[in-house]
Amino acid sequence: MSKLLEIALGVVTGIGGFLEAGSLATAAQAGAAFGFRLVWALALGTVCLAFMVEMAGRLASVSHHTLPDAMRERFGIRFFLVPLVTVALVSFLVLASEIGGVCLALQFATGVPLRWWVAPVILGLWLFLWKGTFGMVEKGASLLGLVTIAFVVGALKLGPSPAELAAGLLPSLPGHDPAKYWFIAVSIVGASVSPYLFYFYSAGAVEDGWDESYLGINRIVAGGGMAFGGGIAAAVLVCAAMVLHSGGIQVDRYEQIPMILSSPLGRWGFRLFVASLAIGCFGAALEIALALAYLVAQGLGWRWGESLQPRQAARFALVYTLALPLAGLVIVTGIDPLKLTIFSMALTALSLPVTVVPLLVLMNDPQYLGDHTNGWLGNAAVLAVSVVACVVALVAIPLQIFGG
Amino acid sequence: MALACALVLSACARSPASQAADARASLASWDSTLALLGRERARGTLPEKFIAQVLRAAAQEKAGAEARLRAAEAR
Amino acid sequence: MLLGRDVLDQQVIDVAGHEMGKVDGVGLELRDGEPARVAFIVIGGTTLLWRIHAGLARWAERRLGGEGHRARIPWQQVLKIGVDVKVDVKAERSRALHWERWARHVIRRIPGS
Repeated sequence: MSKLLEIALGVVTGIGGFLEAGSLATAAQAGAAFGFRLVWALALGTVCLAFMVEMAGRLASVSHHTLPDAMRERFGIRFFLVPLVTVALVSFLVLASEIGGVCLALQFATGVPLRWWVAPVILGLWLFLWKGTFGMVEKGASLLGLVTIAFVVGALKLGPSPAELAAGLLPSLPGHDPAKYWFIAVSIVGASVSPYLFYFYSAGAVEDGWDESYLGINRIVAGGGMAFGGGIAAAVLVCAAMVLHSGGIQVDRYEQIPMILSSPLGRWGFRLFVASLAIGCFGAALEIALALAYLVAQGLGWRWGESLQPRQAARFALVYTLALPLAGLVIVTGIDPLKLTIFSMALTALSLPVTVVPLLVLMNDPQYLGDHTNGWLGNAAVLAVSVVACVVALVAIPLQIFGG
Repeated sequence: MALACALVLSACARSPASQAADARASLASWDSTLALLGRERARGTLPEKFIAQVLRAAAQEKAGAEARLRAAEAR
Repeated sequence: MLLGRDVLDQQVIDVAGHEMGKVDGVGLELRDGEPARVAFIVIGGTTLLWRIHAGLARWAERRLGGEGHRARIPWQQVLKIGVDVKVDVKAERSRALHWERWARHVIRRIPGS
């Protein structure tokens, strides 16, 4: 496939695959509660994500190691256990939220309560992973995910004031409810910079056989795909700001969110919302389940590969086969899907340094990256965002739990 | 260490006045939600099955907020 | 060559190019009056547990009644050390893949594997 086509496909995949339960819920809450005032958090999270995805891709292309593989090698098993356990736990909760998102979308469409959808959705996800190839997961769900462009259409139709939108790009102190403001800000960063994305991306680079000649493609796909994808999340924020904020509506349940699209786009708005939620969450669930399997298999040296038959990489297949129903069980308990989503996003932000610091050490190690180690800007940007996000999360999470 | 946590947590707990304000804000938010829902329903943009779900969610959340309001005002 | 950096925790690849596991441990041969020599690499079993927590490893060995399914690969069979550690062994025959074979046995029951 020509390099240009690969770039185009990569960027489009990044856009289509961006929106999922976390970015949707956090952007909607932000827009409803604070209008455009939290656009800067989204921009910051997206920029940080773009940097980190590019790094994961560069690591894989130059060193031919995936991220977990390199982390175990470089830091040894004792240190590796920390990111392994942390990321596994947090990703597991995020997986549960995505499954909840798909089930909720189906409930919205059919009226059948969400817990009845858990088993069929898990089965669907599992079948996709069992029989599918890496290409199918990476490209299939993400291309379908382009339906989320509906939010951009909706946002344009609602006609936000460009001046107000631009003002939101500058970080500002909230006029009211600071605990909630910072909690949502931190959740937005957690929703953008999800660790499972790098594990998925680095495994993909190795599955697709990337080498040093792909460094340019990697940069464009990471930068372009994530940036435009972030634009879709921004569109969700805009829609929520214009439809809900003006009416004084705070988002406390997923049921309040579809109206942000039905208001500008009518009947089709509702349908597109449901489709976006279902597809976005389904794709994300596939990626997280795989990322979990990659993390464990690559860290422990097992045979791995989505494009392999399950019996060729049996332990790898067993990881996602067990993770999916366990995550489904979380939803069946009846936990509120929105609270689970927002909370797991905040936890992601809290645990960011655990993923980021090892990655940065690797990215500055010539043994792995040769001449392609990080520049100061990448290091500074990523380190700053993750440390600040963690510290703010440390304060904001307890305040939200115990103060709310 | 445990004492520090306890102090932080007790500082986090909000005063009854602000808890009451939160509950009232939640009630107002859901009333506005129902108003918006009514407008969308009149425009025919939402299927009846979904409208029923929103009504159910609104009833649950409003009941919860009213209970919190009563509890905060009782203090 | 630094053992910790270049050998330990590296991916082990067999003759067929398949992953066998990670170098969980390295065995040294101590000789009188001469520097210690690498005798073998170890994959699997409770080796990893010993590096994580000795108490946990002892408990595990008591439960398992031994070292678990540990594979020792003599240093002579290590072909190359680079991105991975290539060994002159067939993974399928090795004890290192014991748990992979067990997992395959479980998975075989599920259609479409």
